Amino acid sequence: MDIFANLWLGLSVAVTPINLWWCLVGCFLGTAIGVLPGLGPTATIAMLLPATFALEPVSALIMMAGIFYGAQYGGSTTAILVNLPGEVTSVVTALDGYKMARQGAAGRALAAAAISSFFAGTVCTVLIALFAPPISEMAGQFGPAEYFSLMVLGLVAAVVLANGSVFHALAMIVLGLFLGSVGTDVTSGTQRYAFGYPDLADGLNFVVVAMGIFGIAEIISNLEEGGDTELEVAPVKGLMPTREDWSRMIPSMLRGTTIGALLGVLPGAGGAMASFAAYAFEKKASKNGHLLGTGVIEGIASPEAANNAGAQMSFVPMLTLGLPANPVMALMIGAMIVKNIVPGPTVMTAEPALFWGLIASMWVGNAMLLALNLPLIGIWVRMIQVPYRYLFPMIAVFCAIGVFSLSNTVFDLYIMVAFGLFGYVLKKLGCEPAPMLFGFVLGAAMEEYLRRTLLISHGDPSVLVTRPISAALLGLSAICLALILLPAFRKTRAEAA
Amino acid sequence: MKRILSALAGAALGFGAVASASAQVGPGKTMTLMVPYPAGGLSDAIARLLAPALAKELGQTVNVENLGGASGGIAAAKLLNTPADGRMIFQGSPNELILSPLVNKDIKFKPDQFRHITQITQNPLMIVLRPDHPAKTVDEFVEFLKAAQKPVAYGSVGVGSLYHVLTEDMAKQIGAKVVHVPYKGAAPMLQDIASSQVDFTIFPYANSYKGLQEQKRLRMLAWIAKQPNAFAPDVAATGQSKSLPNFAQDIWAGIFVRKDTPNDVAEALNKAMANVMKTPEVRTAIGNTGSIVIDTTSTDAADKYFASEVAKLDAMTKDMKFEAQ
Amino acid sequence: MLRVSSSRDLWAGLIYLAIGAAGLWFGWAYPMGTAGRMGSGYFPKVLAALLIGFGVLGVMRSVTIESPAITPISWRPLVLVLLACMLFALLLEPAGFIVATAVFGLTCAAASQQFKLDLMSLLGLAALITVCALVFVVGLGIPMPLVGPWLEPAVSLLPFKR
Repeated sequence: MDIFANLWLGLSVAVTPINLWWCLVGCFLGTAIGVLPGLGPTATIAMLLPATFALEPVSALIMMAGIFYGAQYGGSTTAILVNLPGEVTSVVTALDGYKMARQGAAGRALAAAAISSFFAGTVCTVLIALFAPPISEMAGQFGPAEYFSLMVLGLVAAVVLANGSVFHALAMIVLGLFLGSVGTDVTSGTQRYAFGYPDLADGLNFVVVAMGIFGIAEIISNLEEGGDTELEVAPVKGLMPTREDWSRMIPSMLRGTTIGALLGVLPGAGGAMASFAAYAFEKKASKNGHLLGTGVIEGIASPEAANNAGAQMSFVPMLTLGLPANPVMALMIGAMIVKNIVPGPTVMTAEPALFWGLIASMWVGNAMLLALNLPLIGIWVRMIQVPYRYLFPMIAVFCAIGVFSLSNTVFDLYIMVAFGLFGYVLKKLGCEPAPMLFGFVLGAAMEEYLRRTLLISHGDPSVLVTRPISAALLGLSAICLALILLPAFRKTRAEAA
Repeated sequence: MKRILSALAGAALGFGAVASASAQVGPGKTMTLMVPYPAGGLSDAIARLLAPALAKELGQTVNVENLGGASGGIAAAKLLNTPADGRMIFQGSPNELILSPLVNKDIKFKPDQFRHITQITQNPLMIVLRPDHPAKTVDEFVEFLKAAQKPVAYGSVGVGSLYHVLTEDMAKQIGAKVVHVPYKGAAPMLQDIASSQVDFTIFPYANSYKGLQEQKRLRMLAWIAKQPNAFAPDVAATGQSKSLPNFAQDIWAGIFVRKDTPNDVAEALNKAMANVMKTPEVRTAIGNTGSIVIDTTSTDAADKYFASEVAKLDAMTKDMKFEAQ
Repeated sequence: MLRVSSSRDLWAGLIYLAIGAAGLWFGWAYPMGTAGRMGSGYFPKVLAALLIGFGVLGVMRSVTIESPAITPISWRPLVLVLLACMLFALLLEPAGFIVATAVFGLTCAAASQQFKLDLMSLLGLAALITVCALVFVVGLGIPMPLVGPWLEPAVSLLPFKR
């Protein structure tokens, strides 16, 4: 079969010393910047772009890819250790990961994240090698109507994210959706809730909101009366997953990988939704689902696998069509163009060594990251045992620098302060912010897709139910919503009686 | 307020007046090449090619600064807030300097607050169709637009982008109704072209279109120019058609400074850019991006060109209503 | 006589109400369009109205269900941490990264009840500033001035050149 010859060709490219070296450099850099909140892989790769002009194209791409998935690994580290989700995808990892860290299980949590990511990365490398062209064909079936319906399903899943009251979870989702409408409305080009500030023209930045609501608010509430004396983390019990952990992780990893791979194929929407959807699914599917949110290993394994699977699959549209699914992919396309390689469907046939070399390097890179991250766990775990009164100013400084570096403006810092205050109030009132963040991420896109659907259909909303994929997604959403609301409704009635 | 505070701080420390920045382009100074988009786009890649070459030419550090937001409006406003000493130069196009102030009422600057130093690149535009579109020629396409029962949907990368303005202008010329479907970027738009969600778009040519056409993901209908472009000579041009003989436009990028920058500084920058644009490495690298490298002209010619583009786009947008969607 | 048995729901409800009302107030002028052809005001105003609905329900819940009382607000960390971030934002461009981070770190650290200004913390702060300046400003080229225009005259008096 061709596939083995192709993968063999790829491996022979990926394991040359020079490419191994650049892969290692990329993975290392990616981990480092992933750990720092705010400063994401896009900015790093952009800064390194001129340096890559001197490299062979395949080495340059291997390094960039390494930075990209290295950052996915690193991002979960800060989410678990200090509750700082620097990316949309690590918000859910923080839910259980941070709790585990507080309970003295930071090592096991970090190891679970690394192992699940590696597992998902391996599976997806094979998937891409085998099915890249048909996968991108499948993604082509998704028009605006399908994306909208998918997001409706995602919102229903967001309700599941909350542990507390369904009422407040719904309200927080609506609030998040509403916040998503700040900024320029893509469809009409008008500014909404920008109050004349050009800085608000592109809306609120997710990282700024998340740093305020999670990072800053968390610090304030940790410092509550005497709180910082009690915050001593429980003594660390073991760095590696136990036998029991393994048996709980494996099914979660499989579920997460499947969901991540399916959603990751869809450019744009998929990546952000993968880890949320996997977590929500885990709550229903795992036998420990009811414990999710209290600090259990399933709550890390599944979303981390989904996250990495999604990240890996986002290479598909770039590799097969030359269309970037995210800014990092856009940079990789830029690097190819400068190297006189025409991105697009022809890459596979015109540059087989580059195409298969990059795919093979993904697996090599994932293996490297595992090897790089497992030994680091010991160091990370020691870091959070620094007394909190020394640790928290550092966390705050990293938050602030990260937020500034997003778009190089201090305006975002004021927004972060506002959301820090808001996040603290929400904590006081027992409202969980995760559903709000999810609503926020989906809000603007959901409106955009809905209005685009209606523009194309000349104002006829029936396309949402006459297109089969869209109809199926909406039906699924309705069923899920019923399943969530009915028990909650019964419970409230029982309470009232 | 800021200025008062800084004066106070200076006085309190006993230093009197704060030294003014010297109006000199020359060795030992740091320059900023402002890119009005977040890192990662094609214009960013070009800026990162230009910066080291320009640094060598001027004997001073040139940093690339990415300041995205408000379709380039935030970066342009920042340029206007720095001293007019030529230490900050702006890599811009008609999209952010001419069209953005026309569309966004929160943007307070006007195109005539900028001075055009030199043009650097030019990108030819194309009419791109969904792969299964029946029209084979420009004339058939125009017929299709006019005969359609319901207005035909087209994609663009945003309200008030050159591509939006140009398509509306074309529709007005031929007397057809079209529906604008705005996207946040090229990738989602081309996806919807590939799956035939929208009928067509007007967009800059990219080398990847040939592969996408082979794979039946889109179809290149015509260059929006008098003659076909050498990038794809077998594709017709609007100038050769009966229905749109005068429809020709491209998108370009140039280097800008504040209008009130001293003349000698502007001339020095122009000269430096001319040398940069002559270096073979810069030329091939930019050429690979699917852009045409433009030979640097005098500052006067650059100024005249900019003024003519402003007038042209101003006329095109006169009777378009941006808010009423 | 109604008794508020869940002050959490009362306050959360009032917040939903306030945000919803603000959304409608400030968004009043945005065109609604029709359901088939939505204007830019359709989505946000529908959401704002929903929020008001949630707010009303929340206030109603506050007298029907029980919830634990709200724990007291700890003003010291709240004020100092937020103030620290504001100071950083205010000082970053005029005074430069070094001064801004020093002020930020100290104000922030003072939020802890165990805060004391000993040699150890000052050394830690100096190390933090150095590492951040090297990594972010010098290494990664984030456009933050190390020394801002306020302090440039002072620096120019120093016997060595930067």
